[in-house]
Amino acid sequence: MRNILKLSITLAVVGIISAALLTGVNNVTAPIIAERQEAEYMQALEAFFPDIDSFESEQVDDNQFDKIYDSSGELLGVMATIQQQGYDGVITYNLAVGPEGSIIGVLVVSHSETPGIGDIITTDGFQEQFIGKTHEDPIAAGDDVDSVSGATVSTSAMINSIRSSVGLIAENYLGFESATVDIADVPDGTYQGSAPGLGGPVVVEVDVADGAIVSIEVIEHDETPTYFIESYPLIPDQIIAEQHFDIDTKTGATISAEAIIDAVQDALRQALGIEEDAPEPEPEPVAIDISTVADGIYTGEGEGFYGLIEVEVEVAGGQIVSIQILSQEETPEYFRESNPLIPDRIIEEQSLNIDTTTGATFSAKGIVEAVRNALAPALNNDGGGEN
Amino acid sequence: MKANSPYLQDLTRGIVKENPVFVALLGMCPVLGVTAYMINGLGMGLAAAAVLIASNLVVSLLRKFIPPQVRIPCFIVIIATFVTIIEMVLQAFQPVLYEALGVFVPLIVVNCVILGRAEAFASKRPVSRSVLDGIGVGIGFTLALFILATVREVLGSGTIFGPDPESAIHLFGANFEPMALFAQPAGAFIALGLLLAIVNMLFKRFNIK
Repeated sequence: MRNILKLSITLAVVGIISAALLTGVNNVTAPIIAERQEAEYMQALEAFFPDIDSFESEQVDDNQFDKIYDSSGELLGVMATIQQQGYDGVITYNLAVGPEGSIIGVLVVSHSETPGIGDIITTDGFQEQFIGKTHEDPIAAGDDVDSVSGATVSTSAMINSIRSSVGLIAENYLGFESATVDIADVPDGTYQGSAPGLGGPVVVEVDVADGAIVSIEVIEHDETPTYFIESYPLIPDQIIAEQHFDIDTKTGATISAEAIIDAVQDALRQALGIEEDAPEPEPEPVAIDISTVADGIYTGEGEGFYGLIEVEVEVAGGQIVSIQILSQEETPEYFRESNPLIPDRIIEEQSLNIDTTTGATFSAKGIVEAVRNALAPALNNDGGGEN
Repeated sequence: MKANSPYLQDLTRGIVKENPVFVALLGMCPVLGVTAYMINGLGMGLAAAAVLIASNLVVSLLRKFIPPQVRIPCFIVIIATFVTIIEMVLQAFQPVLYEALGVFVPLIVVNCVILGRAEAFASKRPVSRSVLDGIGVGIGFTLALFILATVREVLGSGTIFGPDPESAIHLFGANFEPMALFAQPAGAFIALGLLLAIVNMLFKRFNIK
Protein backbone atom coordinates (compact mmCIF):
# COMPACT_ATOMS: atom_id res chain seq x y z
CA MET A 1 0.00 0.00 0.00
CA ARG A 2 2.72 2.43 0.96
CA ASN A 3 4.53 1.45 -2.21
CA ILE A 4 1.59 2.30 -4.44
CA LEU A 5 1.31 5.64 -2.70
CA LYS A 6 4.97 6.34 -3.35
CA LEU A 7 4.63 5.43 -7.02
CA SER A 8 1.57 7.63 -7.44
CA ILE A 9 3.19 10.56 -5.71
CA THR A 10 6.32 10.28 -7.85
CA LEU A 11 4.28 10.28 -11.04
CA ALA A 12 2.14 13.15 -9.81
CA VAL A 13 5.19 15.23 -8.89
CA VAL A 14 6.74 14.63 -12.32
CA GLY A 15 3.43 15.59 -13.93
CA ILE A 16 3.02 18.75 -11.86
CA ILE A 17 6.55 19.94 -12.57
CA SER A 18 6.00 19.25 -16.26
CA ALA A 19 2.72 21.17 -16.26
CA ALA A 20 4.32 24.12 -14.48
CA LEU A 21 7.16 24.23 -16.98
CA LEU A 22 4.80 24.08 -19.94
CA THR A 23 2.59 26.81 -18.51
CA GLY A 24 5.62 29.04 -18.17
CA VAL A 25 6.82 28.47 -21.73
CA ASN A 26 3.30 28.83 -23.09
CA ASN A 27 2.91 32.19 -21.35
CA VAL A 28 5.97 33.42 -23.16
CA THR A 29 5.30 31.95 -26.60
CA ALA A 30 1.49 32.15 -26.92
CA PRO A 31 1.32 35.93 -27.38
CA ILE A 32 4.17 35.80 -29.91
CA ILE A 33 2.43 33.05 -31.85
CA ALA A 34 -0.93 34.83 -31.80
CA GLU A 35 0.62 38.13 -32.86
CA ARG A 36 2.52 36.50 -35.70
CA GLN A 37 -0.56 34.64 -36.94
CA GLU A 38 -2.64 37.79 -36.83
CA ALA A 39 0.02 39.77 -38.69
CA GLU A 40 0.23 37.03 -41.32
CA TYR A 41 -3.53 37.00 -41.71
CA MET A 42 -3.74 40.78 -41.99
CA GLN A 43 -1.00 40.63 -44.61
CA ALA A 44 -2.97 38.05 -46.56
CA LEU A 45 -6.04 40.29 -46.40
CA GLU A 46 -4.07 43.35 -47.49
CA ALA A 47 -2.70 41.48 -50.48
CA PHE A 48 -6.26 41.17 -51.81
CA PHE A 49 -7.83 44.30 -50.29
CA PRO A 50 -5.19 47.07 -50.12
CA ASP A 51 -7.71 49.55 -48.68
CA ILE A 52 -8.76 47.30 -45.82
CA ASP A 53 -9.51 49.03 -42.54
CA SER A 54 -11.42 46.45 -40.56
CA PHE A 55 -13.01 43.08 -40.97
CA GLU A 56 -15.79 40.99 -39.47
CA SER A 57 -15.28 37.26 -39.17
CA GLU A 58 -17.81 34.51 -39.31
CA GLN A 59 -17.05 30.83 -38.88
CA VAL A 60 -19.17 28.39 -40.87
CA ASP A 61 -18.21 24.75 -40.30
CA ASP A 62 -14.48 24.62 -41.02
CA ASN A 63 -14.52 27.70 -43.18
CA GLN A 64 -14.06 31.31 -42.20
CA PHE A 65 -15.67 34.24 -43.97
CA ASP A 66 -14.39 37.76 -43.40
CA LYS A 67 -16.35 40.77 -44.56
CA ILE A 68 -13.81 43.42 -45.45
CA TYR A 69 -14.53 47.13 -44.94
CA ASP A 70 -12.54 50.23 -45.84
CA SER A 71 -12.09 53.24 -43.55
CA SER A 72 -15.47 54.72 -44.56
CA GLY A 73 -17.29 51.47 -43.74
CA GLU A 74 -17.81 50.54 -47.38
CA LEU A 75 -17.88 46.79 -48.06
CA LEU A 76 -14.81 45.92 -50.13
CA GLY A 77 -15.67 42.28 -50.47
CA VAL A 78 -15.39 38.98 -48.69
CA MET A 79 -12.34 36.91 -48.00
CA ALA A 80 -13.04 33.27 -47.30
CA THR A 81 -10.61 30.78 -45.83
CA ILE A 82 -11.83 27.46 -47.15
CA GLN A 83 -10.81 23.95 -46.25
CA GLN A 84 -11.24 21.48 -49.04
CA GLN A 85 -10.35 17.80 -49.27
CA GLY A 86 -7.71 17.38 -51.94
CA TYR A 87 -5.99 14.29 -53.26
CA ASP A 88 -3.99 13.83 -50.10
CA GLY A 89 -5.33 15.67 -47.09
CA VAL A 90 -6.90 19.07 -46.67
CA ILE A 91 -6.15 22.05 -48.91
CA THR A 92 -6.64 25.37 -47.15
CA TYR A 93 -6.95 28.35 -49.44
CA ASN A 94 -8.02 31.98 -49.39
CA LEU A 95 -10.66 33.16 -51.79
CA ALA A 96 -11.21 36.89 -52.14
CA VAL A 97 -14.42 38.04 -53.79
CA GLY A 98 -15.28 41.64 -54.64
CA PRO A 99 -18.68 43.25 -53.97
CA GLU A 100 -19.84 42.47 -57.52
CA GLY A 101 -19.29 38.77 -56.94
CA SER A 102 -16.11 38.56 -58.99
CA ILE A 103 -13.00 36.79 -57.78
CA ILE A 104 -10.15 39.07 -56.75
CA GLY A 105 -7.73 36.30 -56.02
CA VAL A 106 -7.09 32.75 -54.91
CA LEU A 107 -4.19 31.73 -52.70
CA VAL A 108 -3.42 28.25 -51.44
CA VAL A 109 -2.31 28.64 -47.84
CA SER A 110 -1.46 25.07 -46.98
CA HIS A 111 -1.81 21.68 -48.59
CA SER A 112 -0.27 18.25 -48.60
CA GLU A 113 -0.67 17.34 -52.26
CA THR A 114 2.00 15.27 -53.96
CA PRO A 115 5.20 17.30 -54.44
CA GLY A 116 5.90 17.84 -58.12
CA ILE A 117 2.38 16.84 -59.19
CA GLY A 118 -0.57 18.08 -57.14
CA ASP A 119 1.31 21.11 -55.87
CA ILE A 120 0.65 22.73 -59.24
CA ILE A 121 -2.35 24.26 -57.42
CA THR A 122 0.09 26.63 -55.70
CA THR A 123 1.39 28.07 -58.98
CA ASP A 124 0.39 31.53 -60.16
CA GLY A 125 -0.62 30.05 -63.49
CA PHE A 126 -3.27 27.92 -61.82
CA GLN A 127 -4.44 30.44 -59.23
CA GLU A 128 -4.63 33.45 -61.52
CA GLN A 129 -7.00 31.82 -63.99
CA PHE A 130 -9.80 32.37 -61.48
CA ILE A 131 -9.31 36.13 -61.21
CA GLY A 132 -12.27 38.03 -62.65
CA LYS A 133 -14.58 35.02 -62.74
CA THR A 134 -17.92 35.73 -61.10
CA HIS A 135 -20.58 33.73 -59.33
CA GLU A 136 -22.46 33.70 -62.62
CA ASP A 137 -19.62 32.09 -64.54
CA PRO A 138 -19.58 28.32 -64.90
CA ILE A 139 -16.08 27.97 -63.31
CA ALA A 140 -15.89 24.41 -64.60
CA ALA A 141 -12.90 22.44 -65.75
CA GLY A 142 -12.52 22.50 -69.51
CA ASP A 143 -15.04 25.32 -69.79
CA ASP A 144 -13.65 28.62 -68.56
CA VAL A 145 -10.91 27.27 -66.30
CA ASP A 146 -8.55 24.37 -66.75
CA SER A 147 -7.69 21.41 -64.64
CA VAL A 148 -4.26 19.93 -65.15
CA SER A 149 -3.90 16.38 -66.35
CA GLY A 150 -1.63 14.39 -64.10
CA ALA A 151 -3.03 16.41 -61.20
CA THR A 152 -6.71 16.13 -62.04
CA VAL A 153 -7.94 15.35 -58.54
CA SER A 154 -6.06 18.20 -56.87
CA THR A 155 -7.01 20.75 -59.49
CA SER A 156 -10.64 19.62 -59.86
CA ALA A 157 -11.08 19.73 -56.09
CA MET A 158 -9.93 23.35 -56.13
CA ILE A 159 -12.07 24.32 -59.12
CA ASN A 160 -15.24 22.76 -57.72
CA SER A 161 -14.66 24.19 -54.29
CA ILE A 162 -14.04 27.66 -55.69
CA ARG A 163 -17.20 27.45 -57.80
CA SER A 164 -19.41 26.54 -54.90
CA SER A 165 -17.70 28.98 -52.53
CA VAL A 166 -18.13 31.94 -54.87
CA GLY A 167 -21.80 31.11 -55.21
CA LEU A 168 -22.13 30.81 -51.45
CA ILE A 169 -20.40 34.13 -50.83
CA ALA A 170 -22.46 35.92 -53.48
CA GLU A 171 -25.69 34.60 -51.97
CA ASN A 172 -24.91 34.86 -48.27
CA TYR A 173 -22.74 37.94 -48.03
CA LEU A 174 -23.22 40.05 -51.13
CA GLY A 175 -26.99 39.81 -51.44
CA PHE A 176 -27.23 38.11 -54.80
CA GLU A 177 -30.09 35.73 -55.25
CA SER A 178 -29.88 32.72 -57.45
CA ALA A 179 -32.46 32.72 -60.19
CA THR A 180 -35.14 30.43 -58.85
CA VAL A 181 -37.69 28.65 -60.90
CA ASP A 182 -41.33 28.38 -59.96
CA ILE A 183 -42.28 24.84 -60.81
CA ALA A 184 -45.99 25.70 -60.96
CA ASP A 185 -45.34 27.89 -64.04
CA VAL A 186 -43.78 25.10 -66.04
CA PRO A 187 -46.10 23.61 -68.68
CA ASP A 188 -46.49 19.85 -68.75
CA GLY A 189 -43.86 18.02 -70.69
CA THR A 190 -40.51 16.34 -70.63
CA TYR A 191 -37.43 18.55 -70.48
CA GLN A 192 -33.72 18.01 -70.54
CA GLY A 193 -31.10 20.03 -68.73
CA SER A 194 -27.50 19.73 -67.75
CA ALA A 195 -25.03 21.08 -65.21
CA PRO A 196 -21.34 20.48 -64.57
CA GLY A 197 -20.56 17.70 -62.10
CA LEU A 198 -17.25 16.46 -60.83
CA GLY A 199 -16.50 14.26 -63.81
CA GLY A 200 -18.33 16.13 -66.58
CA PRO A 201 -21.82 17.29 -67.42
CA VAL A 202 -24.72 15.66 -65.63
CA VAL A 203 -27.72 15.47 -67.94
CA VAL A 204 -31.20 14.92 -66.57
CA GLU A 205 -34.62 14.39 -68.05
CA VAL A 206 -37.43 15.95 -66.05
CA ASP A 207 -41.10 15.06 -66.39
CA VAL A 208 -43.54 17.79 -65.39
CA ALA A 209 -47.27 17.19 -65.06
CA ASP A 210 -49.89 19.50 -63.52
CA GLY A 211 -47.28 21.98 -62.32
CA ALA A 212 -45.29 19.40 -60.43
CA ILE A 213 -42.19 17.38 -61.12
CA VAL A 214 -43.23 13.75 -61.38
CA SER A 215 -39.97 12.13 -62.39
CA ILE A 216 -36.31 12.94 -62.71
CA GLU A 217 -33.98 10.66 -64.53
CA VAL A 218 -30.25 11.08 -64.92
CA ILE A 219 -29.59 10.07 -68.50
CA GLU A 220 -25.91 10.90 -68.67
CA HIS A 221 -23.15 11.42 -66.14
CA ASP A 222 -19.50 10.77 -65.63
CA GLU A 223 -19.36 10.85 -61.85
CA THR A 224 -17.52 8.29 -59.77
CA PRO A 225 -20.07 5.44 -59.58
CA THR A 226 -19.33 4.53 -55.96
CA TYR A 227 -20.05 8.09 -54.90
CA PHE A 228 -22.81 8.82 -57.34
CA ILE A 229 -25.07 6.20 -55.76
CA GLU A 230 -25.01 8.35 -52.63
CA SER A 231 -26.82 11.09 -54.54
CA TYR A 232 -28.86 9.17 -57.00
CA PRO A 233 -31.75 8.53 -56.72
CA LEU A 234 -31.77 10.15 -53.28
CA ILE A 235 -31.68 13.73 -54.55
CA PRO A 236 -34.30 13.35 -57.33
CA ASP A 237 -36.61 11.66 -54.81
CA GLN A 238 -36.22 14.58 -52.45
CA ILE A 239 -36.90 17.14 -55.17
CA ILE A 240 -40.03 15.28 -56.22
CA ALA A 241 -41.20 14.93 -52.62
CA GLU A 242 -40.63 18.58 -51.70
CA GLN A 243 -41.13 20.23 -55.11
CA HIS A 244 -38.40 22.78 -54.50
CA PHE A 245 -34.65 22.87 -54.84
CA ASP A 246 -33.61 24.04 -51.43
CA ILE A 247 -32.77 20.57 -50.18
CA ASP A 248 -29.96 19.13 -48.15
CA THR A 249 -27.19 18.11 -50.52
CA LYS A 250 -24.81 16.87 -47.87
CA THR A 251 -24.52 13.34 -49.12
CA GLY A 252 -21.38 11.35 -49.69
CA ALA A 253 -21.25 13.10 -53.06
CA THR A 254 -22.22 16.70 -52.50
CA ILE A 255 -20.96 18.02 -55.81
CA SER A 256 -22.82 15.39 -57.79
CA ALA A 257 -25.92 16.14 -55.72
CA GLU A 258 -25.66 19.84 -56.50
CA ALA A 259 -25.06 19.04 -60.15
CA ILE A 260 -28.31 17.07 -60.28
CA ILE A 261 -30.23 19.95 -58.71
CA ASP A 262 -28.64 22.46 -61.07
CA ALA A 263 -29.39 20.24 -64.04
CA VAL A 264 -33.05 19.96 -63.06
CA GLN A 265 -33.27 23.74 -62.64
CA ASP A 266 -31.55 24.13 -65.99
CA ALA A 267 -34.16 21.90 -67.60
CA LEU A 268 -37.04 23.91 -66.12
CA ARG A 269 -35.45 27.21 -67.01
CA GLN A 270 -35.24 26.06 -70.59
CA ALA A 271 -38.85 24.98 -70.39
CA LEU A 272 -39.82 28.48 -69.29
CA GLY A 273 -37.53 30.03 -71.85
CA ILE A 274 -35.50 31.77 -69.16
CA GLU A 275 -32.13 32.44 -70.63
CA GLU A 276 -29.62 31.90 -67.93
CA ASP A 277 -27.16 34.67 -68.60
CA ALA A 278 -24.84 32.20 -70.16
CA PRO A 279 -21.54 33.62 -71.28
CA GLU A 280 -21.30 34.29 -74.98
CA PRO A 281 -20.20 31.14 -76.71
CA GLU A 282 -16.66 31.54 -77.93
CA PRO A 283 -16.48 32.15 -81.65
CA GLU A 284 -15.54 29.00 -83.50
CA PRO A 285 -11.93 29.17 -84.49
CA VAL A 286 -11.42 29.62 -88.20
CA ALA A 287 -11.20 26.24 -89.82
CA ILE A 288 -7.90 25.84 -91.54
CA ASP A 289 -7.74 23.94 -94.76
CA ILE A 290 -4.06 23.28 -94.99
CA SER A 291 -4.14 22.37 -98.66
CA THR A 292 -5.04 25.98 -99.51
CA VAL A 293 -2.09 27.44 -97.65
CA ALA A 294 0.68 28.60 -99.95
CA ASP A 295 4.13 27.14 -99.50
CA GLY A 296 6.25 29.10 -97.12
CA ILE A 297 7.40 29.50 -93.56
CA TYR A 298 4.97 31.06 -91.11
CA THR A 299 5.26 32.03 -87.46
CA GLY A 300 2.50 32.34 -84.89
CA GLU A 301 1.88 32.52 -81.18
CA GLY A 302 -0.41 30.61 -78.88
CA GLU A 303 -1.07 30.83 -75.18
CA GLY A 304 0.40 28.03 -73.08
CA PHE A 305 0.17 27.48 -69.34
CA TYR A 306 2.67 30.14 -68.34
CA GLY A 307 3.11 32.33 -71.38
CA LEU A 308 3.23 32.53 -75.12
CA ILE A 309 4.44 29.65 -77.24
CA GLU A 310 5.91 30.76 -80.55
CA VAL A 311 6.12 28.33 -83.45
CA GLU A 312 7.49 28.30 -86.96
CA VAL A 313 5.46 26.27 -89.43
CA GLU A 314 6.80 25.21 -92.79
CA VAL A 315 4.24 24.44 -95.50
CA ALA A 316 5.20 22.80 -98.76
CA GLY A 317 2.93 21.35 -101.40
CA GLY A 318 -0.21 22.09 -99.36
CA GLN A 319 1.14 20.12 -96.42
CA ILE A 320 2.69 21.02 -93.09
CA VAL A 321 6.16 19.57 -93.30
CA SER A 322 7.69 20.85 -90.08
CA ILE A 323 6.75 22.64 -86.87
CA GLN A 324 9.49 24.20 -84.77
CA ILE A 325 8.97 25.65 -81.31
CA LEU A 326 10.78 28.99 -81.37
CA SER A 327 10.16 30.00 -77.78
CA GLN A 328 8.10 28.95 -74.80
CA GLU A 329 7.97 29.44 -71.05
CA GLU A 330 6.37 26.17 -70.02
CA THR A 331 7.49 23.90 -67.21
CA PRO A 332 10.16 21.74 -68.85
CA GLU A 333 8.98 18.49 -67.29
CA TYR A 334 5.43 19.04 -68.56
CA PHE A 335 6.30 20.62 -71.86
CA ARG A 336 8.19 17.57 -73.02
CA GLU A 337 4.91 15.65 -72.75
CA SER A 338 3.54 17.81 -75.57
CA ASN A 339 6.63 18.47 -77.64
CA PRO A 340 7.36 16.85 -80.05
CA LEU A 341 4.22 14.75 -79.62
CA ILE A 342 1.76 17.46 -80.67
CA PRO A 343 3.73 18.78 -83.71
CA ASP A 344 4.15 15.17 -84.82
CA ARG A 345 0.41 14.55 -84.52
CA ILE A 346 -0.42 17.68 -86.49
CA ILE A 347 2.01 16.73 -89.24
CA GLU A 348 0.78 13.17 -89.30
CA GLU A 349 -2.90 14.06 -89.50
CA GLN A 350 -2.41 17.32 -91.43
CA SER A 351 -5.12 18.79 -89.24
CA LEU A 352 -5.36 21.02 -86.19
CA ASN A 353 -8.30 19.05 -84.93
CA ILE A 354 -6.22 16.60 -82.93
CA ASP A 355 -6.34 15.07 -79.50
CA THR A 356 -4.54 17.46 -77.14
CA THR A 357 -4.94 15.38 -74.02
CA THR A 358 -1.36 14.79 -72.97
CA GLY A 359 0.41 15.07 -69.67
CA ALA A 360 0.49 18.78 -70.49
CA THR A 361 -2.83 19.68 -72.03
CA PHE A 362 -2.35 23.44 -71.67
CA SER A 363 0.92 23.43 -73.55
CA ALA A 364 -0.54 21.12 -76.18
CA LYS A 365 -3.47 23.48 -76.78
CA GLY A 366 -1.01 26.37 -76.88
CA ILE A 367 0.98 24.72 -79.63
CA VAL A 368 -2.14 24.02 -81.69
CA GLU A 369 -3.30 27.61 -81.21
CA ALA A 370 0.11 28.90 -82.27
CA VAL A 371 0.07 26.82 -85.45
CA ARG A 372 -3.48 28.00 -86.15
CA ASN A 373 -2.44 31.62 -85.69
CA ALA A 374 0.55 31.08 -87.94
CA LEU A 375 -1.56 29.71 -90.76
CA ALA A 376 -4.72 31.85 -90.43
CA PRO A 377 -3.25 35.05 -91.94
CA ALA A 378 -1.79 33.02 -94.76
CA LEU A 379 -5.35 32.12 -95.72
CA ASN A 380 -6.65 35.68 -95.64
CA ASN A 381 -3.80 36.90 -97.77
CA ASP A 382 -4.83 34.34 -100.27
CA GLY A 383 -1.56 32.53 -100.24
CA GLY A 384 0.81 35.44 -99.77
CA GLY A 385 3.21 33.74 -97.41
CA GLU A 386 6.30 35.46 -96.17
CA ASN A 387 9.26 33.55 -97.44
CA MET B 1 40.46 13.40 -21.60
CA LYS B 2 42.40 10.29 -22.51
CA ALA B 3 41.70 8.69 -25.83
CA ASN B 4 40.04 5.72 -24.21
CA SER B 5 38.21 7.55 -21.48
CA PRO B 6 34.56 6.52 -21.18
CA TYR B 7 33.58 10.18 -21.58
CA LEU B 8 35.07 10.47 -25.03
CA GLN B 9 33.55 7.15 -25.96
CA ASP B 10 30.15 8.28 -24.74
CA LEU B 11 30.42 11.28 -27.00
CA THR B 12 31.66 9.57 -30.15
CA ARG B 13 29.92 6.23 -29.96
CA GLY B 14 26.56 7.58 -31.16
CA ILE B 15 27.98 9.48 -34.13
CA VAL B 16 29.35 6.60 -36.19
CA LYS B 17 29.72 3.25 -34.49
CA GLU B 18 26.26 3.17 -32.96
CA ASN B 19 24.60 5.70 -35.21
CA PRO B 20 20.90 5.57 -34.28
CA VAL B 21 19.76 5.64 -37.91
CA PHE B 22 22.39 3.89 -39.98
CA VAL B 23 23.32 1.22 -37.44
CA ALA B 24 20.53 0.85 -34.89
CA LEU B 25 17.71 1.72 -37.34
CA LEU B 26 15.77 3.50 -34.61
CA GLY B 27 13.26 6.32 -35.03
CA MET B 28 12.63 5.63 -38.70
CA CYS B 29 9.35 7.56 -38.83
CA PRO B 30 10.81 11.10 -38.92
CA VAL B 31 13.86 9.81 -40.77
CA LEU B 32 11.69 8.83 -43.70
CA GLY B 33 9.03 11.47 -43.25
CA VAL B 34 10.80 14.83 -43.21
CA THR B 35 13.92 14.26 -45.26
CA ALA B 36 12.65 15.50 -48.62
CA TYR B 37 14.59 18.75 -48.07
CA MET B 38 17.89 19.37 -46.31
CA ILE B 39 16.60 22.19 -44.15
CA ASN B 40 13.75 20.05 -42.87
CA GLY B 41 16.08 17.13 -42.16
CA LEU B 42 18.49 19.37 -40.33
CA GLY B 43 15.70 21.06 -38.36
CA MET B 44 14.16 17.75 -37.37
CA GLY B 45 17.56 16.35 -36.37
CA LEU B 46 18.38 19.37 -34.23
CA ALA B 47 14.94 19.40 -32.60
CA ALA B 48 15.22 15.71 -31.75
CA ALA B 49 18.80 16.20 -30.53
CA ALA B 50 17.73 19.05 -28.26
CA VAL B 51 14.99 16.89 -26.76
CA LEU B 52 17.38 13.97 -26.43
CA ILE B 53 20.04 15.97 -24.57
CA ALA B 54 17.51 17.59 -22.27
CA SER B 55 15.69 14.33 -21.52
CA ASN B 56 18.96 12.46 -20.92
CA LEU B 57 19.98 15.18 -18.50
CA VAL B 58 16.73 15.14 -16.53
CA VAL B 59 16.30 11.36 -16.58
CA SER B 60 19.83 10.97 -15.27
CA LEU B 61 19.24 13.61 -12.59
CA LEU B 62 16.09 11.89 -11.41
CA ARG B 63 17.33 8.32 -11.78
CA LYS B 64 17.57 7.79 -8.01
CA PHE B 65 14.11 9.24 -7.30
CA ILE B 66 12.09 7.45 -9.93
CA PRO B 67 11.01 3.97 -8.78
CA PRO B 68 11.64 1.34 -11.47
CA GLN B 69 7.94 0.39 -11.66
CA VAL B 70 6.90 3.80 -13.01
CA ARG B 71 10.07 4.73 -14.85
CA ILE B 72 8.62 4.43 -18.37
CA PRO B 73 5.63 6.75 -17.75
CA CYS B 74 7.98 9.21 -16.03
CA PHE B 75 10.38 9.16 -18.97
CA ILE B 76 7.55 9.73 -21.39
CA VAL B 77 6.19 12.67 -19.40
CA ILE B 78 9.69 14.19 -19.29
CA ILE B 79 10.22 13.67 -23.02
CA ALA B 80 6.74 14.97 -23.86
CA THR B 81 7.40 18.09 -21.81
CA PHE B 82 10.54 18.91 -23.74
CA VAL B 83 8.89 18.11 -27.08
CA THR B 84 6.00 20.44 -26.27
CA ILE B 85 8.44 23.18 -25.28
CA ILE B 86 10.36 22.72 -28.53
CA GLU B 87 7.09 22.76 -30.45
CA MET B 88 5.96 26.03 -28.88
CA VAL B 89 9.36 27.64 -29.35
CA LEU B 90 9.50 26.57 -33.00
CA GLN B 91 6.00 27.85 -33.63
CA ALA B 92 6.87 31.19 -32.10
CA PHE B 93 10.29 31.76 -33.59
CA GLN B 94 10.71 29.39 -36.56
CA PRO B 95 7.20 29.25 -38.07
CA VAL B 96 8.38 28.15 -41.51
CA LEU B 97 10.29 25.19 -40.12
CA TYR B 98 7.39 24.43 -37.78
CA GLU B 99 4.97 24.23 -40.73
CA ALA B 100 7.38 22.10 -42.73
CA LEU B 101 7.98 19.60 -39.95
CA GLY B 102 4.25 19.37 -39.27
CA VAL B 103 3.09 16.37 -37.31
CA PHE B 104 6.63 15.05 -36.90
CA VAL B 105 7.43 17.50 -34.13
CA PRO B 106 4.85 16.09 -31.68
CA LEU B 107 5.89 12.63 -32.85
CA ILE B 108 9.36 13.19 -31.36
CA VAL B 109 7.67 12.02 -28.14
CA VAL B 110 7.47 8.50 -29.47
CA ASN B 111 10.85 8.59 -31.20
CA CYS B 112 12.37 5.41 -29.84
CA VAL B 113 15.88 6.83 -30.06
CA ILE B 114 15.05 9.18 -27.20
CA LEU B 115 13.17 6.71 -25.02
CA GLY B 116 15.82 4.13 -25.86
CA ARG B 117 18.68 6.31 -24.64
CA ALA B 118 16.73 7.26 -21.52
CA GLU B 119 16.02 3.64 -20.67
CA ALA B 120 19.27 2.01 -21.74
CA PHE B 121 21.77 4.69 -20.80
CA ALA B 122 20.71 7.81 -18.92
CA SER B 123 18.70 6.02 -16.24
CA LYS B 124 21.82 4.11 -15.16
CA ARG B 125 24.63 6.64 -15.67
CA PRO B 126 25.78 9.86 -14.05
CA VAL B 127 24.61 13.18 -15.43
CA SER B 128 27.82 14.16 -17.23
CA ARG B 129 28.05 10.90 -19.18
CA SER B 130 24.33 11.00 -20.02
CA VAL B 131 24.59 14.48 -21.46
CA LEU B 132 27.63 13.49 -23.52
CA ASP B 133 25.74 10.45 -24.76
CA GLY B 134 22.78 12.69 -25.66
CA ILE B 135 25.05 15.04 -27.58
CA GLY B 136 26.74 12.15 -29.41
CA VAL B 137 23.56 10.34 -30.37
CA GLY B 138 21.92 13.68 -31.22
CA ILE B 139 24.77 14.54 -33.59
CA GLY B 140 24.57 11.06 -35.10
CA PHE B 141 20.82 11.36 -35.64
CA THR B 142 21.10 14.86 -37.12
CA LEU B 143 23.98 13.80 -39.35
CA ALA B 144 22.06 10.80 -40.66
CA LEU B 145 18.96 12.89 -41.41
CA PHE B 146 21.06 15.54 -43.08
CA ILE B 147 22.87 13.05 -45.31
CA LEU B 148 19.64 11.30 -46.29
CA ALA B 149 17.90 14.63 -46.91
CA THR B 150 20.79 15.87 -49.04
CA VAL B 151 20.65 12.78 -51.24
CA ARG B 152 16.88 13.04 -51.54
CA GLU B 153 16.78 16.76 -52.25
CA VAL B 154 19.56 16.70 -54.84
CA LEU B 155 18.03 13.73 -56.67
CA GLY B 156 14.36 14.50 -56.03
CA SER B 157 14.28 18.28 -56.52
CA GLY B 158 17.64 19.13 -58.07
CA THR B 159 18.24 21.78 -55.42
CA ILE B 160 19.96 22.31 -52.13
CA PHE B 161 18.57 24.41 -49.29
CA GLY B 162 15.07 24.34 -50.87
CA PRO B 163 12.15 24.47 -51.13
CA ASP B 164 12.03 28.16 -50.14
CA PRO B 165 12.85 29.94 -53.43
CA GLU B 166 14.90 32.54 -51.56
CA SER B 167 17.41 30.03 -50.28
CA ALA B 168 17.12 27.25 -52.85
CA ILE B 169 20.11 26.73 -55.09
CA HIS B 170 19.41 24.93 -58.34
CA LEU B 171 22.27 22.61 -59.09
CA PHE B 172 21.53 21.51 -62.60
CA GLY B 173 20.05 24.45 -64.48
CA ALA B 174 16.48 25.13 -65.53
CA ASN B 175 16.04 22.22 -67.89
CA PHE B 176 16.94 19.55 -65.36
CA GLU B 177 14.12 17.19 -64.65
CA PRO B 178 14.50 15.84 -61.10
CA MET B 179 13.59 12.29 -60.12
CA ALA B 180 10.45 13.33 -58.28
CA LEU B 181 10.21 9.85 -56.80
CA PHE B 182 13.00 10.69 -54.38
CA ALA B 183 10.99 13.58 -52.96
CA GLN B 184 8.18 11.16 -52.17
CA PRO B 185 7.90 8.57 -49.39
CA ALA B 186 8.80 5.61 -51.62
CA GLY B 187 12.00 7.40 -52.58
CA ALA B 188 12.83 7.82 -48.89
CA PHE B 189 12.90 4.05 -48.45
CA ILE B 190 15.01 3.58 -51.58
CA ALA B 191 17.48 6.31 -50.62
CA LEU B 192 17.74 4.97 -47.06
CA GLY B 193 18.35 1.44 -48.37
CA LEU B 194 21.13 2.64 -50.65
CA LEU B 195 22.75 4.64 -47.85
CA LEU B 196 22.56 1.65 -45.48
CA ALA B 197 24.30 -0.47 -48.10
CA ILE B 198 27.07 2.11 -48.46
CA VAL B 199 27.43 2.43 -44.68
CA ASN B 200 27.67 -1.34 -44.28
CA MET B 201 30.26 -1.49 -47.05
CA LEU B 202 32.35 1.21 -45.42
CA PHE B 203 32.09 -0.45 -42.01
CA LYS B 204 33.34 -3.70 -43.45
CA ARG B 205 36.14 -2.00 -45.35
CA PHE B 206 37.43 -0.13 -42.31
CA ASN B 207 36.64 -2.93 -39.94
CA ILE B 208 34.38 -0.90 -37.66
CA LYS B 209 32.38 -3.05 -35.31
